[in-house]
Amino acid sequence: MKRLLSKPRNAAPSSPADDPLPDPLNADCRVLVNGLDVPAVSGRTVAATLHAQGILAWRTNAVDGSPRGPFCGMGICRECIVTVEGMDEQRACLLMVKDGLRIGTES
Amino acid sequence: MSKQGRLTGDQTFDVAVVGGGPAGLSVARTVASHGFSVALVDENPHLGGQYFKQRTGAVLDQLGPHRPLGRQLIEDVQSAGVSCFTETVVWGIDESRALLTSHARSATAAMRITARAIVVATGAQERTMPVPGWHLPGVMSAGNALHLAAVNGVPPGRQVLIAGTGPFLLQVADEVARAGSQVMGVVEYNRPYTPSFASIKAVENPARIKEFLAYRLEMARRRIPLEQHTAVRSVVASGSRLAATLERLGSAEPRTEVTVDAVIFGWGFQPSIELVRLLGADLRRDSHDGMWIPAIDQNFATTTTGVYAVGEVAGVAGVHAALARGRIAGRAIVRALKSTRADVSDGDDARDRRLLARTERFATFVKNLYPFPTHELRDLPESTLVCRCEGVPASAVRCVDTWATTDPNAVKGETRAGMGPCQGRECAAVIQLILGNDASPPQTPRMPLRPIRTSTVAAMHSDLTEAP
Repeated sequence: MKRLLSKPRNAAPSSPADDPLPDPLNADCRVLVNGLDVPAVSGRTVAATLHAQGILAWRTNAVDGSPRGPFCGMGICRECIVTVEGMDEQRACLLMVKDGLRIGTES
Repeated sequence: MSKQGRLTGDQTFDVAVVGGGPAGLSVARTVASHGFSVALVDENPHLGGQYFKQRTGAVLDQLGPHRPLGRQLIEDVQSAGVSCFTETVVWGIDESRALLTSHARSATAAMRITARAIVVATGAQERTMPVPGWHLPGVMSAGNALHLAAVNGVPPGRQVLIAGTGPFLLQVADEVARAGSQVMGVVEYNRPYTPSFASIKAVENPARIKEFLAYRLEMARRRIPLEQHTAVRSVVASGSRLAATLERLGSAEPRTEVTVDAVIFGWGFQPSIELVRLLGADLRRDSHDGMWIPAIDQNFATTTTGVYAVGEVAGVAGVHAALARGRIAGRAIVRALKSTRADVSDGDDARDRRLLARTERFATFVKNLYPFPTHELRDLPESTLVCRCEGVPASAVRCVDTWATTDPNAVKGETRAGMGPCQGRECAAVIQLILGNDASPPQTPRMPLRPIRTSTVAAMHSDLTEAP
């Protein structure tokens, strides 16, 4: 019961940026993220595809400039907005990836 | 016969259902099976809503199906001839109460849907509890973590912390761990797992107890700590990771810091009532959790003629209640449209109402076991962001309080809280609680209910603006 509070287990192997978690699924297509060709898994959303690449934030708040990433995952918070195939203001959590999809992020 | 509706011009149906989750699917299947034309509209790329969200593509191939009961229901709806409009946003109504919709990925595809009955099945969203740092990338809702893990096969982070209150946290811990994240702990605000007299009531729902025990067993097997009566007080960025500060409530124990890659918050659910409010339905407060819900009769008809509210919109009670409410409302609509009750089974109705009563009793029991800590909002540190979109801190919202108004729309105008792209969905309920205003519902929803393009509106009115 007391393990978490009294003995914090902070001994992380390393930061995730240096040592990304391997993707548990095999890629079957590729998408373009800001022009960069990255592997993707069909059936995932654009938001999940970016997350699997270790990208957790891809826009900044219009008021205070702070970096933001997906929060609600169901189309409500609008923190995951991307440009897809030239259409801006798209919710990445409600869009499915497909081979060759062009995704543009603000930051 | 499966129909993917085409989004164009004006279309008329017997019944329009907004929301393709358990309740919407259930009502659509019932009504369509009696031969009526039904439009089912949902903004997601696939039907299923949040609970029955299906795996597709290579995720389905590699992980197998997720919640097959939902798959079956979706197939039933499609074979019943329901016109399904996915990626379709309902953003308003016109003066004749037609639904104004547009396609999520098109600048011009728009449609006006006229129907004899409108069923609002817009579900629920997660409740929020602001905490310093909740806007940081890597801090996410429990539902987001569940979708990432269970539907997309993406672990939310190498190491994650799950906090808030509710049985949902256990389910999220289970799915997130299965996807490959190490769950450093589940931090439950309340003390639901300390046996009490109240918990005896759970025996009425053995299936739920079985689910609970399965989650606990899996947590024990994976050595995931469960802390009760504990809260996450802040989250700060720590290099590329997040440091969460934990406090055991009512204890002198020093606070503990846990460093993780994702902090997952779940505080229960609240009905998504924007559309039903826009349709003019009277609201009332749910006597069990204080949430604002439409006033409905025993058939889920609202006070607006021809407008029904089913599923979580009618009060948060879970998937089994949503399915039963959909069937009950569906039969009522069939009776209303047919003006005869010849082939609608009263026996089915009685069975569903018994099931619903039992499920709703259990939902009440759960709400009592995991109360939302409203009092925490009064102690929120001054600089904590309340409105994420407009960057409005708790101090600004409280300031309005001292200026003598708790009117939700006045507060919105004064502080801009709720004026950003999410249109108050993440903060309006919280603001009401901070102000202690439980007499009026949160900020009035405004059209468009979702941000839309001016070109969409122009396309919708192109028939009125013919070139000279």
